[in-house]
Amino acid sequence: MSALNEETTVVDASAPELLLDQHVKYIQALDTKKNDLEYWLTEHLRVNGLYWGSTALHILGHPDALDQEQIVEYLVKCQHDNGGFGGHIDHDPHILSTLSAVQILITYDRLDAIQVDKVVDYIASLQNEDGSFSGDSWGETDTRFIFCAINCLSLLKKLDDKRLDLQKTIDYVVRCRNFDGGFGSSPGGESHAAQVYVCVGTLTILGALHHVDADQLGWWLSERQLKNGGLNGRPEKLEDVCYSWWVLSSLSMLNRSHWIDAPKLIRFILEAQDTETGGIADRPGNMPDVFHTVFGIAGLSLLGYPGLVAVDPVYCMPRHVIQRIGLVEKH
Amino acid sequence: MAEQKDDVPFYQKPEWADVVPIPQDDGPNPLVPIAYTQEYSTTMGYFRAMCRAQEKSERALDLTKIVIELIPSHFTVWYYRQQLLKELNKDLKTELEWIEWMVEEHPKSYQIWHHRQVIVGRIAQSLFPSTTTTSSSTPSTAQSAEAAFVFDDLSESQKTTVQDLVKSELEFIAEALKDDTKNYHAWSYRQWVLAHFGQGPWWTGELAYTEELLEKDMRNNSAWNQRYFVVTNGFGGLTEEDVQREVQFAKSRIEKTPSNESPWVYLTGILRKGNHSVTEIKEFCEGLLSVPRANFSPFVHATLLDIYEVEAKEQRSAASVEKAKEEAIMLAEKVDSIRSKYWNWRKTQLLKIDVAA
Repeated sequence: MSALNEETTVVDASAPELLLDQHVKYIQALDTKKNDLEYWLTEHLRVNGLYWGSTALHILGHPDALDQEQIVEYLVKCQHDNGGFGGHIDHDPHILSTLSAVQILITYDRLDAIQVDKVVDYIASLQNEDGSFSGDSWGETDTRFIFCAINCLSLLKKLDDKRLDLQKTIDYVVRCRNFDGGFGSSPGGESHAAQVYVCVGTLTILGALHHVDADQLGWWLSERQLKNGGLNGRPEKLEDVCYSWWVLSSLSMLNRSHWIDAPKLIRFILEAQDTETGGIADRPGNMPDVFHTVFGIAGLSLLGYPGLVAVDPVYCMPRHVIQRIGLVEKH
Repeated sequence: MAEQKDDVPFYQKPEWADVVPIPQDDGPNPLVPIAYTQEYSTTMGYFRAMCRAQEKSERALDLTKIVIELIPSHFTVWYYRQQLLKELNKDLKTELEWIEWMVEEHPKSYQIWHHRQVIVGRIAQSLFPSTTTTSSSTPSTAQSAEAAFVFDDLSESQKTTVQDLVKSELEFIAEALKDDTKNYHAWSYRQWVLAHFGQGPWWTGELAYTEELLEKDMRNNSAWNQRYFVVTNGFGGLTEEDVQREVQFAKSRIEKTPSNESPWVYLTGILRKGNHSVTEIKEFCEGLLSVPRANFSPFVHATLLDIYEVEAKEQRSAASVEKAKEEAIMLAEKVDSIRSKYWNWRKTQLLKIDVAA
């Protein structure tokens, strides 16, 4: 049985309730919208979408709400000869979809369905001379892709692969650290909470968190909370539910998640729920989508919201799964 | 007549008659079946056929444009287009014009901005093949990218060519930033352009550009970040003169918007980078306490807390600990109570300071 959050937060009685059953139905219904062009215009994100949906369902305590066999069968078809996964059948492999596929398969304990060594070959082939990783074979580089690569290799227990130079990866990520303590997508790039998450996550997995000034970055992250309780990604930007995850998980890795006002953030996330359709939007009053749904729910789980399965702040997967595969807790 | 012809979908034109589109393979038990719009599915069918055959032709190039305009985030098609542009030896300046239009339509597409970088990288390489220092691979990141040439080593006419290219790229990006001054992709690409062409005169212009943006919006954090990028990377790094000028620059903006996080973080960041102590702005911060709007700025109090804490440690001064404590209480209880847990933690840290008896 999945471990629920051990320490739960006292939730403000006047905050809206978590519409757990409606969110389950919302996610189950996502795959029935094939008559909408919108569904197909996002087909390159299908594998990511499955990760978001299945992870949200696991945290909601409904791990069987999607047909596992069908998903595994589908993912197998998305793997290419070079080992990487495309975002959908017939799409070129990319590190983003490769990580999502591996995360889903590990969550379902079905890594046996794919060729793991080939995934490692693929990821190793994406490392650049400077230690960073490209997202695919045509070279776009971003700290997001570094995290995807390191996260995936860590989940597969293949960080010791001889082809990798992890010291260079650490050095590169450290070069992306800014004067405000945050991190950007490349050296010199503006600090952004999502880029902070991927950089802090990479350094956490690689045991190199000592390169971060946790107090300075912890304060910068805390500064992301606005008066309405929501979090933004950069100074003077609007609050958005997905930053509940990027900011909070980073603070959690730095052991400083208690620095923000949890009850206010919980209320903000709950107010962004769509009471008619289920699902969570970027902010109250907007249309929900699966991306904001999973990061809202994962944020609530990190905040200790009662009744939710505990989530791991580094891998954004159920904590019991991370424990099952024996990854040492580094956070 | 010509207009009528344009209304005909490409796949009904004679030059496509020999291509057999490949339908979406959903497998025997589709999780994601096939009822989507006819135009989309037909177009993608032809695209798959071209891709599978790796056809290098004008019609394939045309088709990549159709697919991209339909679904710009489909990265496979961009890569195919880049190969085609090379194989068919197409004029890259024309490509830049099309990208300009695409950026207006899809300013937040990762793929479009990356495509721009790839194309401009190719143009840079083709300018003076004998002087380029980079290999054929795409330089990956702003600061890490090895500059394409040593600007000072170029002849006068070469310098003019490079300056013209950089100028037109910076103008193109500035247009995109007019619509969204915080567009992350635009800024990342801008840093790449500045660094890729080496230490040319555009770095001076860039400092003025950030000032111009900050004139319009002092809260534009992207512009502050860019300013830091320029003063620490351009002109061979941060000098003492830069530090003095930038400290004054930040102070003057703080006086106008004391509750604006960006200039505060910039100010302390510049001091740290220039090996100056934060205590050097003590008088400035204390002065702000008597300014009606400023005395409620969390950043005034937060910076004073930092300053008194440093003083307390350096001078083992109990009085400074007291002053720091007052600031922490002010922050936790009055001006920044949403972060009261953080400020209370700061207060407990003060108790650990070893003060003279």
